[in-house]
Amino acid sequence: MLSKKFFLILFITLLTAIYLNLIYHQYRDLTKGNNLVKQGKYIWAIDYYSYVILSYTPFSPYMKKAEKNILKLGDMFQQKQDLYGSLFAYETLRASYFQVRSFYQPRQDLIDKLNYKIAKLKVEILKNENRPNNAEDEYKRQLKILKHNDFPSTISSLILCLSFVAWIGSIIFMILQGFKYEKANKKIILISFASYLLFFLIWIMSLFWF
Amino acid sequence: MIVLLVLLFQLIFIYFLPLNITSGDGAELVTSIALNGIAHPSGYPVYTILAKLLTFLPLGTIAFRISFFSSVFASLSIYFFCKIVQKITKSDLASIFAGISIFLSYSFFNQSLVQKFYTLNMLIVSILIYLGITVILDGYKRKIQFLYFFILGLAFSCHHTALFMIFPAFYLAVIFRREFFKNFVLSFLYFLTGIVINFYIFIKLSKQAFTFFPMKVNLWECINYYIFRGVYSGSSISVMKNTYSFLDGYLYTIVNNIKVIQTNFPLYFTYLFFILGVFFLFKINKKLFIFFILSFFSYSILIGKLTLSAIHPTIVDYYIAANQYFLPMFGIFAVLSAFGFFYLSSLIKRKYKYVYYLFTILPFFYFIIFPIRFHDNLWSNNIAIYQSRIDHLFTKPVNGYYITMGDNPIFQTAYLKKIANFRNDICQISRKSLKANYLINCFNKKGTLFDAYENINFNKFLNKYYSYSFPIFFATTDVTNQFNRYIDIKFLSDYLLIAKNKDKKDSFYFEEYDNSKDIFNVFTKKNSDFKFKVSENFGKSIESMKNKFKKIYNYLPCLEHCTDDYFTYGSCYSTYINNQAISQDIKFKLIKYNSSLMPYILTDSNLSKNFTMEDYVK
Repeated sequence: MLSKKFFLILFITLLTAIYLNLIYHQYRDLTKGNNLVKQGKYIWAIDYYSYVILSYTPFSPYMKKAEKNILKLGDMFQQKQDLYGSLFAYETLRASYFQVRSFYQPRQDLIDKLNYKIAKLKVEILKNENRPNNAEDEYKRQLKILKHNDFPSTISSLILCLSFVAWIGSIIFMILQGFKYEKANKKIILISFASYLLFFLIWIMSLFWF
Repeated sequence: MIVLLVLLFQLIFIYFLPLNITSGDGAELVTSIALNGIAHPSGYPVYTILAKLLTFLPLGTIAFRISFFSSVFASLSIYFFCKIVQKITKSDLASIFAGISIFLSYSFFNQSLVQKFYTLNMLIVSILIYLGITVILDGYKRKIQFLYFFILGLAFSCHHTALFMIFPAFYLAVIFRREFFKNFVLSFLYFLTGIVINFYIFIKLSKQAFTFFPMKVNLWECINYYIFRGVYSGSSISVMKNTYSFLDGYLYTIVNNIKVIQTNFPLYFTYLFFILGVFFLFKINKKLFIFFILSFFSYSILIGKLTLSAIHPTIVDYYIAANQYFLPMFGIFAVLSAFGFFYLSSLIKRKYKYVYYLFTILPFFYFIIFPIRFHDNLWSNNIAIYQSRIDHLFTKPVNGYYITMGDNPIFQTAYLKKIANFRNDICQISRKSLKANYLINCFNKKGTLFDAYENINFNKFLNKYYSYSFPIFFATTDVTNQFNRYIDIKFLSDYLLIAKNKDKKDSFYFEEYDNSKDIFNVFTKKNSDFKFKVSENFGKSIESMKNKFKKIYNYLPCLEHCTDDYFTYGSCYSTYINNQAISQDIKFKLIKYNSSLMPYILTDSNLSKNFTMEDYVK
């Protein structure tokens, strides 16, 4: 029978492999991005820097470099009055961080700052294209859109998933342990049935509530 | 030994995993999972909930984590198939043979990396087969019967093809009929307990959770629409009727099955082992023989009859049906081949000991296929699908409208808007098919999300929500392919839709769908009800936007994706090759590269010939 220690080692091995794999991709894409900057292909460089962020690994030094480079290019476009270029940089950076959300949202502080910048840029673009909107209202509208987030809360999702795993686990435990021998083990069956009922109810309620 | 082998496979899978969304249903599944929503019918709640748990892992993108989830199920299913071989042959070497041949089979490798549920399906089948042979070899145990029924119930909440294990189960019920009927009532209760997971769909629909397939909440309609996939033309029930209709289709099924096996097991000595394996099984245990034959029949001939029985299957048949539904067949095929390998190696061992040592290398010989996977399935390099969709969406003016049609453009654009929150100022209007209603993923005048799925009168809709905005509709090429008679102006890779001819005789679309009429009348001056004014400098605006967006298009990922994915070709084609902003020499490079990655699954030379980028361009 496989021991707990074995599973722990297996778990750590897999996590390490994923971590190293992502770090490798970050290094690769950061290098590509830097090369593209040298060639003057700034928009493409932003794409590759955004891939670095998509290969999200906590505490990676490459993440910070990529983020800094995108912001730098975004500011550069803004100085050149290339509004769509600047918008591309900020939108891409913001979108990259949303896609790597886990039980927490990385760089929420940066996203908040970018929201204001992006809203302002969009209003300016509309103004440049002679689109007849009230600038102040449009700014508020854009900001509201940017602050919109469809993600369900982490806690509610965790309750939903864990209660599901728990009631499935209770049933499997009931079958494997309660009916292990010719004579059914009533104690185990009763406990696992109670556990099943409890977690099943939590699961159903979580579906209704969250 | 098996555990170490499976661990090695898992580590290889990790290297190949895509960093972001894959094609087809990938973006739809990722979006549904992340938002605690409902996937396309049959809803797949077991997959959705379990995958959601993994999205909390703070490594890579959400899509990457879900792909990792697929690979874990793939590794576990290899583990169970290896255990099956080991249990029967008591040979590590034979189980290694089965493991390696499954691992390197084309479709299995592909499905282990993308965001799909077919490896979970395969895991369920492998566990059920393992339970079946345990009963046959070790004798009847009621806990195994209960577990078998419970897992079958769970299969009802996954992909329905796992339910085909009912046929071999029926055989077991005949063998152990006394014990089986004694415990049948409780078993059936366990089966129902598994099915109950489908409540997830009904409750989530009533709570208006995110889905691309919403419907009015009614339990019976929900069962028909979702559980039995009534939304599709081929519902689960109507598809099952095909098993006894058109019996000649079985002949074509066998031919197509052989092609599929050839593609997945290209080393021909495997077929010799397969035949020997069937003979070996017949020799050692008749019950095991019948159980395996029934399982193999269910996942080869029966599934083939339902999904791959055409005389000349199309590319889509091969790519979708053959590449996804036959995974359990590959597992069983590899197991039977491993029996043959064991049988032959045992015979050799008795007479020629030194030849036997040479023979033991054979399972590892399979690794000569491995380099091909760097050419057709290196998904870690494929960011082209994501990038092309980013480029599509970004090259729209602020507060623009974007019409998407077809699974890939709809799902991927919605992913960008819902999960990445990318360019949410753009209003996405989607049409899944001509029969379906519109899916709207837009924000209204006040910036509140207007997320709906309904029949639209475009005049009313636009006046109410967007009358102040820029009156240009952009659509993916998928839309324009459907409505090319209306295309008037080409704009980069997308099109501006203007009615060319309002004559009803020239338009099946107008005749059948009155609601859609308005969309084509937006730019016609005769439509007096419509409040938009088309700018006089319209042509100039288009030209200036062309220049603005020219530099955005990043075609580099389309030149290095290292996958033979059918839909990646489509994305690269519609975004860059069919794009006025891209120069001819770059287009030539793109065509050359993508044509060189011919889908490995398309072994038929005629099909391959039809599937070239040159043809697209023509």
